[in-house]
Amino acid sequence: MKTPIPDRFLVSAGIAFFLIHSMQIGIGILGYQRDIAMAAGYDAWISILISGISIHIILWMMYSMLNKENGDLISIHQRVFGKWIGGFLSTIAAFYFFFLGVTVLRSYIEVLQVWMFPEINVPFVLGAFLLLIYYTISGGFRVVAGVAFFGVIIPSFLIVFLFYPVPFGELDYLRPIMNHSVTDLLKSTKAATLSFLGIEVILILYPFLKNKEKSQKWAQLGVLFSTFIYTSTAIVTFMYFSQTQLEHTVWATLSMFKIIEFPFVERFEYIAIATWALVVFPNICTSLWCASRAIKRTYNFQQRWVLIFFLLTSYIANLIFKDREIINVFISSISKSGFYMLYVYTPLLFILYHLKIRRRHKK
Amino acid sequence: MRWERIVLMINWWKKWTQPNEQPKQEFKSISALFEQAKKSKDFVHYKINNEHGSVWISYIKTLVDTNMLQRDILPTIQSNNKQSLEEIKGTVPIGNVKITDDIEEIKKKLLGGSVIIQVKDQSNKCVIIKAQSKSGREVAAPEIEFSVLGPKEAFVESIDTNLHLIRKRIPSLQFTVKEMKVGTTSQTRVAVLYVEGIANQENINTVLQRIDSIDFDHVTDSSFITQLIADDQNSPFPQLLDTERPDRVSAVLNEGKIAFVIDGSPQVLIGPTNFIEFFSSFEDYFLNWHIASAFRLIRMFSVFFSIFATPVYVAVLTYHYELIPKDLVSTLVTSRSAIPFAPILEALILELAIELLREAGARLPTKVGQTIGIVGGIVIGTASVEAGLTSNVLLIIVALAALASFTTPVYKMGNTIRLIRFPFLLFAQIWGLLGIVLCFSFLLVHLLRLQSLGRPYLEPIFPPRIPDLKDTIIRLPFSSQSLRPLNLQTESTVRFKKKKAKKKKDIDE
Repeated sequence: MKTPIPDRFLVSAGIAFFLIHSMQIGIGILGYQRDIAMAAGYDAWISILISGISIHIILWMMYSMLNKENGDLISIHQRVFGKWIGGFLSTIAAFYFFFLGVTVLRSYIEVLQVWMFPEINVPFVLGAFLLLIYYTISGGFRVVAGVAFFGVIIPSFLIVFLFYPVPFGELDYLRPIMNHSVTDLLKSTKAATLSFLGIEVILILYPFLKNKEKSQKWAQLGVLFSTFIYTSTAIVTFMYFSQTQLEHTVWATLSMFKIIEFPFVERFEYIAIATWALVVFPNICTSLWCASRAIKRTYNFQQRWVLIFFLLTSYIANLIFKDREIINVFISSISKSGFYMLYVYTPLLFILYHLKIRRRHKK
Repeated sequence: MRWERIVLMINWWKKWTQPNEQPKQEFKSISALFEQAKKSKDFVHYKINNEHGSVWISYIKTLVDTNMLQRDILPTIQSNNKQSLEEIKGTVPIGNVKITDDIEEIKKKLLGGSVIIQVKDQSNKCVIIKAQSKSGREVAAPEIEFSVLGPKEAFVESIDTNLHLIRKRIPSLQFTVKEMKVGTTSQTRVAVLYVEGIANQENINTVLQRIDSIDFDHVTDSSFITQLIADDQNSPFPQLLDTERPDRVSAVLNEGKIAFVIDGSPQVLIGPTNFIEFFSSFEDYFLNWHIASAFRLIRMFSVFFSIFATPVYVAVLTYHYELIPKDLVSTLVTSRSAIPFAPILEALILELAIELLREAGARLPTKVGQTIGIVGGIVIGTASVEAGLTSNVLLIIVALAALASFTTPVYKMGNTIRLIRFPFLLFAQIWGLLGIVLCFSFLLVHLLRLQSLGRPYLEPIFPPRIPDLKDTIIRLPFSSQSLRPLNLQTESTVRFKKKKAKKKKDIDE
């Protein structure tokens, strides 16, 4: 980064917690339990812990590169791969962020269609969402960080309700512990990591943090908190549903919300889904901000126009891909590429980068 | 013929569209100035003959204090046996007398209520004696920000009185008043107040610069200034706090904020401010902190209630009736069974009726206004329920929401809160609860984007500054208020020294 970003655009290091955490908790948490239980059964909560730890390590790798470079992914790419290949890779990263955002938006609208409004006018609600996203991102990174903050704080009351089914659970479902092979656990770990995707954003937004090196503590805490939520939700779910039941439950978390009742509210899941908009929308904003920022940094385009291009594309893409099969293929390929980006590309880049730095020092 | 008409029209159009500024009048001599002034009937210009010659006196009758003129100025001039300007200056028993030949200054002083005295009619040199008449309200008890406890003084329209009210509360040489003139025709005096060494210099510069760059013809009230210098002029949210309490102003000046007093306005502006501050009443500081915090919580709750109550009703009854528990359904069904309208229509009718009542009450004299409130509230409400136009459940909700919106201590914010529920109603009708959340997100993003004099509007919530939370939704005791708000980036951060040891005493010691 040649010109440092002016102080008034920066956010304090503690916000890294909210940015990372809000990226990780998205649409996945509403129904990840079935996927992770596929391979490892009810030992799958262990694999969440494993993948949580691996994410901590990956995040540490990212920070070690960023702290050295004091820049973002684009400058790291340029240093390691040179202008052309580096620019190409940055473009791929930008599109990855873009597709990440589109996936989340598409999945949320699907939840809406399945659970709340089967007849919802998709072009209309999509337009409203994209308008909101444009309004947010055009306010700059501080506003994006702000919605990430509120997207964690306001829906946090739902965390209490995640434990609501505990009295109805059976602890015996979890037993015996560790009756699956290591390969099964690792398979399930792979499925679990998909929920943890999103920490990549730190590669782009790092220069916007004050006290950059200190922010690692907060970012790691964000990952820790996500791991806690995922693990505890998984355990509660495993206690509540029997294994055969869970196999037929796509949105397990939402199904658990269903049993919550108050003297004045029945069908609590409606409130949960509507509030979930506040979880999902910062998530999309952060990824689209990162996407447009990456393009801006690589090609020196105006970020506003890049953003408008991305928003229009996602509008059209969301309308064209209506078929469930195509969406599934799309979503799983995005998560796969996210998986490879985290577990293959990041360590590779980490090694290459440090080799390059060391070689430069020797000269 | 027709062609000529077109040319005429084009000419008129040109004249209409082109900026056509009033030519600024430059007077060459004092007599030309008086010639222009004489066109107005209240300008007085006459000669007094005394023993040694004649003296010319000119002033604007309607601006000058006649008592002062007759008691102090005229006797001295008439009895004066010397006749140079210097001697008049020396003998008039009034301070701040000036001799000048600057026409521009003479004009300003004349229009400011000074008496101009010349010895020779034609010469430009003259004595200016300030004899401004001061008519205006007496300082009275605050009406808008009434408090049961605490000082009962409120600002009035005169800037000097207002400055006096503030200044006597801050006996410090660091207290600074910067004065400027705003408005091309009104030449309104604007005083910017701050305490040097506490207020952040950057904030002061922002304020001075913004006021300086105001280009407007007639500034009558502080609300003009608010609108002209606001960070985002298209926002429904007020970005400067206005108050009529001198005690509040002096308190926030000590906190490191900046206040501006505008001549002719009983409202003093305070900035930089934040969203939460609009829901704190100054009376909160007169009460015990537990009680004050409880009141603040009630106020925050009522804001939320007033915004969300009717939209949630509309959303639930239009889309999510499954949400309502069985026992409650029967109540709702009986109240709504005879209503011919959809919930949104019903809600809109009632909301508009309440707004109508409020507006009618505000425009009418107090006594009639009360009657309107009672007639509207009781008669129309009962009648519309009995006629089967609205359900009584909604009537209760709407009335409570209206009541809740009046708990906001700052009038401007109250207005915003009342209007903000209409977009929510619209969104609730379109997408139910999801619509409410969407609209809330828009509101949130808008508030996140807002700034007050360059400082974030949602502070201390975002950016989160935990020390500043001591005086927001809850008000902690004074012992924990020893530091000034971080948001203001004050030059000195400590208000008072915290007691060194808060050691707990043992029982019976």
